[in-house]
Amino acid sequence: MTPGKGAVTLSVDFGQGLSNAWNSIATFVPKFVAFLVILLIGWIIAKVVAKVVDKVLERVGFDRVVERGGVKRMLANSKYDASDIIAKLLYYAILLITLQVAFGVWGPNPVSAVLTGIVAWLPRAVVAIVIVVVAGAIASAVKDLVTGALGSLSYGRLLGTLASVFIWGLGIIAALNQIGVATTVTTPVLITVLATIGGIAVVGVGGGLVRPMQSRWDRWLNRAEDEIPQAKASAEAYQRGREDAARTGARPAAHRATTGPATPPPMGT
Amino acid sequence: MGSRRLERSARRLLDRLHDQVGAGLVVAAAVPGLAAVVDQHAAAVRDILTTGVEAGAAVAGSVLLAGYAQGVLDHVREKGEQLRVPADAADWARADWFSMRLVAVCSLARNLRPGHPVGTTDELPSLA
Repeated sequence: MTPGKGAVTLSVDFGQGLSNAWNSIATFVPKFVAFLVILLIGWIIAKVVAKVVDKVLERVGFDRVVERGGVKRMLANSKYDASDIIAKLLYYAILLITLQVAFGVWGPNPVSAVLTGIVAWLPRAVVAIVIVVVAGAIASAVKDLVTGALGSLSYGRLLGTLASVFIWGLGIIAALNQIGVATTVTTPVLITVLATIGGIAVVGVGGGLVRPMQSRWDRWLNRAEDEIPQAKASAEAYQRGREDAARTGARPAAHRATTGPATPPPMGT
Repeated sequence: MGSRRLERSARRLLDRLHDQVGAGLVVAAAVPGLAAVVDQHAAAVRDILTTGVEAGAAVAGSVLLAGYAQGVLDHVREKGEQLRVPADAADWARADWFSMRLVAVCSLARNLRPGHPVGTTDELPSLA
């Protein structure tokens, strides 16, 4: 009785397990097929888009624009040019999105969570790249300008290089901030650089100015020393003028009769 | 004399003064009587500045003259009056004491070379 019943329940359980397994296979296989199909379609789209973008960018002259920013030199040793890189980036971006969609088939799972994070981060990476490219273009333009304008000076080239390095630095820091490398890293770096420049300026410029400033002070003091007797004499002459005018001007009627001699010098004579 | 700043500002003041009353010198050149009056005023001013200013001899004449002229001008201004600068030759013959004094300063300044002390520069034209 008991064993029979047990067998029955067992067989029932067994059948249910089997059908459960079948069930899950039946639901898994379509999902898996969908997964593969999505991947395949995504991959094809990615390929096509990458090709098209590469062609369009080359046609538009993107490489030449970027070249001005000096990015070309950075890429000189790699087998890619700038448009290749953009195309590759797009390719992988589309692949990532495809993967995300494909894994979405399985419902919520850790892999798609990671992928979602990466995909959400992609636009910021693009912006960061744009910032670097733009900063590079500005930096080289500024360098050209400064070097051209100050070319006759011995330090014109140095100033140009400094300016471009500075702009590059700002651009890179902005890009790092953009892709989420924490400001806790970049801001201290920026502050350190600025403080270093400040320190160099203070010691170099200030130290160099000690002697000129000294001689300037000497000159000022000498001049003051020379000026004091002059100023004193001038003030005395002024006083004499006032006295004189007060004395003689007080009786204007007299001046005709006694013109010159009427105003004898007050002291002396 | 290391500093030229005071001298320069003194020069400017004297130039302004010349613009104001310099006409008197021109008139005086033509009217002997007026010239004599100007000379007497000039002599008085020169004496005052040589004897009345300590260390006056070591200082540029223009500085002393400018100081003196400024003193006269300020006195006039503080009395609330305008300096009555004569308009023509006839007026100059009746010019008041202040105008004559300032013309005398101008004539002294004209004979100054920059940097010369008053006392040694100006040879008074003889009154003979």
